[in-house]
Amino acid sequence: MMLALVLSVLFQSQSDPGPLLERLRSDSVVEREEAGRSLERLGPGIIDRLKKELEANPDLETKFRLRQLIERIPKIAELAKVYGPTRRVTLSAHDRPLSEVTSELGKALEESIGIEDLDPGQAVTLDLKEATLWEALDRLAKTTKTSYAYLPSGIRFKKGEMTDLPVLYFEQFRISLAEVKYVDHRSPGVSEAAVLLAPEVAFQRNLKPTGGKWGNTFAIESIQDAAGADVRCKAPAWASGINFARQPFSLQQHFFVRPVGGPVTIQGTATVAFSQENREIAIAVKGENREAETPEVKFSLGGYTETPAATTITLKADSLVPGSYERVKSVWLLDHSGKRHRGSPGRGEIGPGGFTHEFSFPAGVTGKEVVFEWAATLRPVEIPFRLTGIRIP
Amino acid sequence: MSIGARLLLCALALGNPPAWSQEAPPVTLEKKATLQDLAAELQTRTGARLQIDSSVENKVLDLALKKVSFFEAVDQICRVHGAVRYFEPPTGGGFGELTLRAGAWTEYPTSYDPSFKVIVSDLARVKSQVADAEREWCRLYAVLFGPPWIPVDYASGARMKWSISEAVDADGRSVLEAKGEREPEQRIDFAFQPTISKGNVAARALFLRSFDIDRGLKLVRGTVEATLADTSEATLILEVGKAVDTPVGRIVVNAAKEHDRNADGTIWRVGLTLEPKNDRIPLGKVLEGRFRYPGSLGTTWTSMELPLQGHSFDALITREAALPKELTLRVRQGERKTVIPFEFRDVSFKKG
Repeated sequence: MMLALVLSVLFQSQSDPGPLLERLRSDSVVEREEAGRSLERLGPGIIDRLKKELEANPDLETKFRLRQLIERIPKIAELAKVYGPTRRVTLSAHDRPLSEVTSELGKALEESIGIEDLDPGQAVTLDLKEATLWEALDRLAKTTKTSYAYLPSGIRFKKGEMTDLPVLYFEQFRISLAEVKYVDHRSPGVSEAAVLLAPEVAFQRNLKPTGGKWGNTFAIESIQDAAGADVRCKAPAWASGINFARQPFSLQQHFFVRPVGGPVTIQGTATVAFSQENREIAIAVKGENREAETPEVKFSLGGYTETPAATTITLKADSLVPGSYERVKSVWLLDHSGKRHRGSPGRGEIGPGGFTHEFSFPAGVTGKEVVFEWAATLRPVEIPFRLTGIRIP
Repeated sequence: MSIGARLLLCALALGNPPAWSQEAPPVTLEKKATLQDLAAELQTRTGARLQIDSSVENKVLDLALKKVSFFEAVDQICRVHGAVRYFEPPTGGGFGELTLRAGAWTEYPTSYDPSFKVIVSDLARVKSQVADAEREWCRLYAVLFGPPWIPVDYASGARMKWSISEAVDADGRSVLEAKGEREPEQRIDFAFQPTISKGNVAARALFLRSFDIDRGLKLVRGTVEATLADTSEATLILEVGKAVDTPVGRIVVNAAKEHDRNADGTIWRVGLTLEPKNDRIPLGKVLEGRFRYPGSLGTTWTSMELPLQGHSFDALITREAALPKELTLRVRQGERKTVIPFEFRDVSFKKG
């Protein structure tokens, strides 16, 4: 795997970007897009060349594309080193049965792709060149007027045409909106409407990010209407909380905006963090020293109680960085015979400066140590994004 | 929580409140009297405990009520007074008692039953766009008010099955969902429960096909099938080994420990075990998911989680410097179902 990656990098560094830079100025949008993707694949070795092209003062669009490439290529290379290459596919199908296309796509993307209540013989015409997993799935769905679900058991294409929610592809990631919801509400003396935008970042199934479930994935710079006014607002009093039906391999967050007539643009950065090193931390249940420390977090054992219903502990963390609770992967109670008993989370408070959280263990267990797995080193992937033309339903 | 000195008890001598299986007797109140006198009389007639906040103006009211239900009588007292109410969003009816407080009376579309009332608290129209669909539907938010002597809230262990048999919009078009039709799948949701959802109420957002919510609904009919129980209280002294006998078995204190301390005070964990008369019945069927104790701020109600298996459970007392002396549990018995029909005509809300 590592050898393949190294060879790939060597091969890329020897490629001549000249013809691709020419195609970046092509009259055809498709060709320009493809050229951009192919240049990305050539890796950081072409950055100097791209900078020279930029200095030559090309037209506005080429400038934009060059700048984008100069920004993206180092990130992509970094990503590939740490998390492996992005799955890509090149496929050309003309009037071929859907089942054949999904089968071929599945092999190329190392995914199991099934179809549900669809005609397997439906003729499909599809041209993909170096498309990422997400681009390929979206393109197939669009062309067959279907949709798909990315599930732990595989990918399932199904009835229901994809809507026009804007999408941004970045290597293993797909940034879009999980849902745009408009609710018009009436109660005595109240007549009000509110809109909820739920940006979402989906990732390849081989990636296992840490955190992001508690609304810290997206840092939003602005949410603007067509006139450029910021339309963010607070949740209305009648909102009664937020319910997420979380999907696998994705992280979501929500933002309330004022109901506006025209399209909306949301701009910001999605941060997906990956654990590079997990460490086990142990804290004695009894004694003076019921603490443990890492460079970023100071842990302590708050309470320890045995009752006939359960053995309960309170784990506390004073943290210099946000998201510490999500970095606790599993918690066990180690009894005096050395046996581990897995804990389940109970009540707790999570804040930017740490957490206080209870964990309960089976009744009758007398603990010697509390042991938990801690994501010690996090590597964040930051993806700037701008989704335009979001229509309020 | 103590409401102490600010409340005036309407009547000192109380009749026994009706058990849940008994309907409160119909009320006839045809007289001119002060609010306090009328409330005291209603309390005597129904057995329901009524309190009046000292800030409420003790007006003379002229009532002409003939054989009405408990809630019809209370609502009419509030309506005629004009500046008193017993619920305010997000909290609905009282638990164990109703307290009349100063505040403008707000009308909601209401359907009365001899013991209960059902209101429409809100209407909403929802439009949603997800990856594979764009959909539109409406929600009718319904709230069942239990009278003070019948707990209907979630912590009481009561369960509700709501159904709508008829829903007609302002144009006479049925907006009832097709058989088996449900709210579409959503990735993120808000406004999924009525704006009145606390207190002695059972609240639910009901799915309807899209209609003009400003013009409202001409007619809505349906039922709530309520699974309810009689309740009695059992008070335990918080010392290890102390026990109390209840109709469902003996409850023993196994542990009463300081678990942790924080800036808000001490967290006490009390371990309890029910020695059940029938060990096949799960805890949630014989105990309410709440308890009360005399805390530093007065009587405090706290919810607790009852395990699905076994008969041992923990009660957590927070923010108290000292362990309270006692704890009171509520025991459920005689669980049975009752069907509460509701009917609303011309459901709409004036624009704010």
